[in-house]
Amino acid sequence: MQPLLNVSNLSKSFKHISGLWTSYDKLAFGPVSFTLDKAQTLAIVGESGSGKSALVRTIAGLLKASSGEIYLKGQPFANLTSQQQCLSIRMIFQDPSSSLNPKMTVGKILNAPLSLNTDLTPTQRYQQILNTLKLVGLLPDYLDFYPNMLSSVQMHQVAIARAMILNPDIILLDEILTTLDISLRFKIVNLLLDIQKKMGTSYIFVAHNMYLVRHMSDKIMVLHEGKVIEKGPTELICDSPQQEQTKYLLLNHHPDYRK
Amino acid sequence: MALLDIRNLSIDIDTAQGKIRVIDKASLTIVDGSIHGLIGESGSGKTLIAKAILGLHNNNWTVTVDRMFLGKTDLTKLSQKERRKILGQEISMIFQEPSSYLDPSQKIRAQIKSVLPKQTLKRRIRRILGKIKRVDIQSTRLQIKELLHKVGIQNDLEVLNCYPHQLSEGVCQKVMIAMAIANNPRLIIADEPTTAMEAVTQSQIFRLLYKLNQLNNTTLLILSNNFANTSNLSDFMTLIYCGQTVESGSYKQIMESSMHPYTQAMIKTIINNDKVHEHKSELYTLPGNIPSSNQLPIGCRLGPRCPRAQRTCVTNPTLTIKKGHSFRCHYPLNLS
Repeated sequence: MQPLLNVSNLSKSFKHISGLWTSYDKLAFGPVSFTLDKAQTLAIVGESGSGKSALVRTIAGLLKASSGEIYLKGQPFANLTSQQQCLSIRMIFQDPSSSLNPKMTVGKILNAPLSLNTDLTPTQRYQQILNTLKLVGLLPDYLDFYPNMLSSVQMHQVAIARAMILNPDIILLDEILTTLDISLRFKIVNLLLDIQKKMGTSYIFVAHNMYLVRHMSDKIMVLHEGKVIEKGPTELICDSPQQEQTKYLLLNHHPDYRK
Repeated sequence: MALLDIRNLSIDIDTAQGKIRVIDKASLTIVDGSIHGLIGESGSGKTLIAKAILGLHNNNWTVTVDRMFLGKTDLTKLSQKERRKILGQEISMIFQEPSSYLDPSQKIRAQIKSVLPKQTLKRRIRRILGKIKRVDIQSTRLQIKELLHKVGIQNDLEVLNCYPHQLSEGVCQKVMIAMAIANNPRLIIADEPTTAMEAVTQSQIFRLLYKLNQLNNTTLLILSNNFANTSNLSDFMTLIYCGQTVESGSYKQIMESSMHPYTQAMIKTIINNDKVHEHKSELYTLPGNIPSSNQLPIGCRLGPRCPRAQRTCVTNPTLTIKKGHSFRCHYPLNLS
């Protein structure tokens, strides 16, 4: 069967200007290849500066890849129109308090992707907004709220609703769980797992907490200085890591001081 | 012996909606030479307690406390100036988000120098006399170098010539710790020292704090919202929910015989490699959200979210103390 997303030899390098006329290319990551199936979760882990965020941003189309191809259901991703791209891959950014427009109400925030990317009538749009709000567990009363009136977990829920409103195949999550408190973090994790179960959405997410990664993901990809050093099913990587870097990442969680 | 002993600390803040009691009769006893974890979610008032201990409050705060002793000195009877002297000499604080607490316009060297005792004429003469008598008195340069080595910064000269924005968050936090331990304080208050840091840096910082406690016998008060991380490190723990201290006791008492439902909920947030949780299964959380500070419920503030709440929970439960294990609950669990 054809995989949902197929990334082959993707790489990205940034141009650094070193002198008046000279410049050199600095590799952010690559070459990276992986496939992702429907309703699966891929976790990207690694230390800071290993190119996780750049990879996620490139897949989302925010950065242009230097080389390599992304195929979505067998079609080259670059050939799709931006509307089709939006309908299939959506991204949730790290900090919802800065990624939601403070001058728009929640209703307008959720309406914008629908009116830009679909041909739905206003009533259909309203119905879709209500359905999505119900999916993320918010009441319709919040439609007239501005983002600054919401608590941090509600802002996350709105951000997830904005990603889910077009029913995309894949959602990219860039470290959304790091800034939340532990119990709220669990709430968002439960919400994401629930959405995956109901809608069959695939996730690609960047995270630090290895235990959460283990809990949520089906596959893990470990990046170190831009290179994929290990990838495979979650169970395999967590139980028998092969590379030093992976062991280091796993070991640094809850070191036991009481021994 | 208790190094810091606080009884019934209450803080009221004047707001447009009137006075709000943000901290409600919090009690805290910190044993000398131990690591004490003060654990609560964001907005529960951890930082407010720390600021009240240091005396850093604004004019619109009303702080009432029955007893606040640091060793043998009564902090409530001291003037503002004397409190200021204690800050930095006896108690020092490590703030969260270190890169924003360091001065962005000064190099690290100048900032560390400002924490060290001033180079007065008397000190200089003493140093010169020391050289003649061959008694080693350290120069400031060496002091700074030693401090940075103590916190695990090897390339000290490079770091000293940097501005805070040129350094990573982990290194900034190490610099903050170096500044905190410069005067060998008796108590260090670490306010969420590792939020928004990666696992590797996080464990470095925690290991460093643990080493400080073990080697210098410095007492640590760690404020944190991550129960899983902090519980491992601390000898004693106090849990706080919406400004009320719900339970406090030693590590063993909390982990093995917790009395309060909130503590139970927090213990369930520890996920580790044991196969307790099925893959992709639902994780345990308390129902509902944390109430905002102008809509606090009366009585026990956990009430509306508590799985064991009953009618009496609308009155504030009194503090029960059993063998150093104290809790506030009408219907405690594990009561033997």
